[in-house]
Amino acid sequence: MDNTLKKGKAKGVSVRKVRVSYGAVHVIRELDFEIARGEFIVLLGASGCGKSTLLSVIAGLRDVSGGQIWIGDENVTWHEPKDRDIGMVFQSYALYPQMTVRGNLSFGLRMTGADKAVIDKRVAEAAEILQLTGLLERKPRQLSGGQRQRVAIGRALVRHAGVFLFDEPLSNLDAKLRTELRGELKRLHKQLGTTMIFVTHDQIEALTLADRIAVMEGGVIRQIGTPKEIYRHPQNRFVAGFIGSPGMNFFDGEVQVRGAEARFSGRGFELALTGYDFATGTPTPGKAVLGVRPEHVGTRLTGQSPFQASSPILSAETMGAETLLWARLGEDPLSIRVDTLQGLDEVSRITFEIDPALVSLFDAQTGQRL
Amino acid sequence: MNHAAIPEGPKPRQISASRIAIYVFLGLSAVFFLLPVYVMIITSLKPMAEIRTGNLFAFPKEITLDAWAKAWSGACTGRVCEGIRPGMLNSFKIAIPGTLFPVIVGAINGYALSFWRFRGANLVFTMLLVSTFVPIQVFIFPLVRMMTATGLYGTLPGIILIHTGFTLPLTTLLFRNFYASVPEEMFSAARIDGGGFWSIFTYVLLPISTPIVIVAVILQFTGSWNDYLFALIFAGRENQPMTVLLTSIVTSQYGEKEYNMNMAATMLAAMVPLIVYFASGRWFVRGISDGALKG
Amino acid sequence: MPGWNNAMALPVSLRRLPAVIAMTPTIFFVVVVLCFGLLWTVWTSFTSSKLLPNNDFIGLEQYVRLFGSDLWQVAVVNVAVFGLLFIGGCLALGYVLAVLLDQNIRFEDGFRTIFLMSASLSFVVTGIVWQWLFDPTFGIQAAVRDWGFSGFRFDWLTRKETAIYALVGAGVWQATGLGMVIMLAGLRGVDQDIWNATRVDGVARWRVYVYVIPAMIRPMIATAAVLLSLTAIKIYDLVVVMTGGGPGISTEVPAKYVMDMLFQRSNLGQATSAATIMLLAISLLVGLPWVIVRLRQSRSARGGSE
Repeated sequence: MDNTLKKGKAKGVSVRKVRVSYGAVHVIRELDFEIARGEFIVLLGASGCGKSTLLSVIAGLRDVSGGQIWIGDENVTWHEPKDRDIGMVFQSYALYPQMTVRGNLSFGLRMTGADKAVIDKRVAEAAEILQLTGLLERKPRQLSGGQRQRVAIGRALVRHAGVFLFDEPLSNLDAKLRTELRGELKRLHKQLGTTMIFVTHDQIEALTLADRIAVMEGGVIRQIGTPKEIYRHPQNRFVAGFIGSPGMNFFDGEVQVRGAEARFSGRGFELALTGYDFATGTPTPGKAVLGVRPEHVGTRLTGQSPFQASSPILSAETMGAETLLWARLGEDPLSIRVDTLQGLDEVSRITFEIDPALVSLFDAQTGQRL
Repeated sequence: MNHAAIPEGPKPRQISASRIAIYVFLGLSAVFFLLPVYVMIITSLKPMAEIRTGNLFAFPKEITLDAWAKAWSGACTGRVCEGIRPGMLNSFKIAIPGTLFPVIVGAINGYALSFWRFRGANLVFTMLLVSTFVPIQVFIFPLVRMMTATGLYGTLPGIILIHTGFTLPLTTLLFRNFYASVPEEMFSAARIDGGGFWSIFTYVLLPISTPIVIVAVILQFTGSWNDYLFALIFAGRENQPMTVLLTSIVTSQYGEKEYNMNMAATMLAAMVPLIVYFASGRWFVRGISDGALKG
Repeated sequence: MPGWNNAMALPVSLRRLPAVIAMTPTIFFVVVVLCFGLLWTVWTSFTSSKLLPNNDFIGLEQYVRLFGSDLWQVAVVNVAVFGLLFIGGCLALGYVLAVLLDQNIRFEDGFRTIFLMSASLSFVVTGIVWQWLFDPTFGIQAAVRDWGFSGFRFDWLTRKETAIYALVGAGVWQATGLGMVIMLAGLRGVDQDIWNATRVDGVARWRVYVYVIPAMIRPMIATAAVLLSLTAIKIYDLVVVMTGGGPGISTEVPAKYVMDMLFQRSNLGQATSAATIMLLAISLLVGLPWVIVRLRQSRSARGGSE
């Protein structure tokens, strides 16, 4: 690999007390966080949560209403996008339709007066990394969706930037292509080691690609952490419900504490909370919401779980290798993810276990994790 | 760059040189486009003495409406000196039906071509379109013959028919493109409900056609009012619209031309389309971008 | 069955009948007036008709006479010169104005209204006003000299070599607005992300307007060009009013040639042959690009996707 694309070029990004508002509408309410050099961070959220705005602001395509953006050691808040050492890939690819792939890749460099030899070398390099070498003389309309997206990535690559920004680049592709390109992006990150900021609404992309995920809602970051952390220990009800497919089961109830022991009293059931890791270290009594992931409901009974219950199966949805069973926990519905091969969709009644170490508890009012 | 300020918050916007240049160029262009109209107006308000001695661009020292009065009722077109007044009425007599009929027929055509695909429909439409590219000079003599044979030569119905016929491509195109964007389901549902050709047109499509009707009316009216060639040949002496009369007034002057009267007459001829233009502004632009582009 | 629409039970061809009937006037017009008229004109161009048409076939003699005539030769050259300058001028100025209007400026509506206003006028009006402006004694030349620039010349209409440029000027004044509006609509349709990409790449705005945008709005430009070329070839009103074909015959144009032959010189044969040539010219002008586009489409369809 040519050492012009060095790992050392990667830069960290610092979002300092940034807010973005249009008149009375607050699109981003004070955000303050750091992105490490070489990190692959995903901004995840539903539409309207502010993730694309945050990306535009980091890119310099939009002004912040307050706060600063730092890239590397520089305060770039007032810098134009071209001076921020970034490369960007757009959802609609935004390729120049009448230029060849080579033309698209080289346009920016040509227009800013780069040396022809440098341009040719960088284009060849990017084409090789992205497997576009045979397509250099084609025009965008002659390319498939996946190829076009690779050209868009290539256009960012030739800039030898310190930070790459991706605005939902896979959203316009069909499922199969999405999976393919996801893998390529991961490989690319490993190969280049540049900092990558990736915006998406698809949690699968987030969970598979990210070093860290920032889950956003309503202009704030609800939780920022590694995929594992976010999955295992969602910090609030929103994140818990957002991550994981099929979604987490939620039960209203109360945490009752007796001495050193705590238990969750739900509607029609009681779950001893032995082994549950409370945020404050000690059990916190009060109204709470219990969260149990469908895949964490044990159907192969080990006999070692402190909680076991049985319920009639109300319905079963078979989705290929997995089946989602709908049963009851007390008076509330409970969805359970099982292997189709277990043949449980034919059964009328099921006995299951819940391991309290795997559940999540949230304050009924604030939604914060207990 | 102001070294004392630490960048934070929105970037301060400075008026750049390029921004100023943009406004300057736009301003100059505006002057270019308005100047003739300005000159036209002030010239028409000046007495001839002032025109002879004064500067073209100078504001009238003495504003007089004599030229307007003369243009309206006293100007000579060849042997007759009735001014341009008869032309005004004639222009309306030609343009109003000359707008109504083409729009109606165009709407029906657009409707028929969009939803009722009969054999030869595409052929008819293609030929209509192609006819816009054929210079009308090609049709003049055959038309003269046909009009004479049917007794329509030099009559009001004759010129209206001609305006209608030759703007069929434009109006049909406008309506067809517009109806092409109407979902087919609306039409099918109406058929299932028992609608026939005319009832669907009247009750389903006409009510939603307002935007395109407005555009078609504006374009048609302006085009018909401004027509010179067809009116010159086919309208007949009693029905000559303003464009024809205006030309006669201006070109049939001997000796010193009465420039102020000419300008007044020109203003009178231009007034109606200009009023239509300013009144309809927004729709005119939208019409061109929506309608003409799809062609 | 009760409730069924009778029309649904008819065979397909009959169901479409109301549409055909509704379009009868149009079909009549197309067939009788347009087709028949066109054929008739072309036929007459091969005859020796003068005041009245006759069926005396004389082959291409009218055309020989036509192209041998000084007047016609001047007319053809003029319409070509006028056409190129007029279309070029309108497109160039129209594009620049459209680009400027696209810059998020204040008073955008106002400017646009001003630029488009002239398009609502008749060529007769435009011609009269511009003739006045070009008048050496009372027009712009006199006014500017009055301000002190004693050597200023703006008397293009009085000299044979420059009269045609005066026509171009008036024409551009009238028609630029139309092209501008068409191209502005095209500019507005450009994907915002393309602009974002150029900002990230550091490409100067004006370069985008020169190197990227024109190709992207090519259909709009083509539409504008076609409409303008039709206007150019048919130009008549403007010439009659501004120059009457003069000075001398220096601003004669084909459309005027046809009209004069028809109504003043009573020479049907010449008039129809000139008209036929005009038809051929336009067919080539419009037909050629169309054929090229079609060829390119089929070529890329064959060699394109994988």
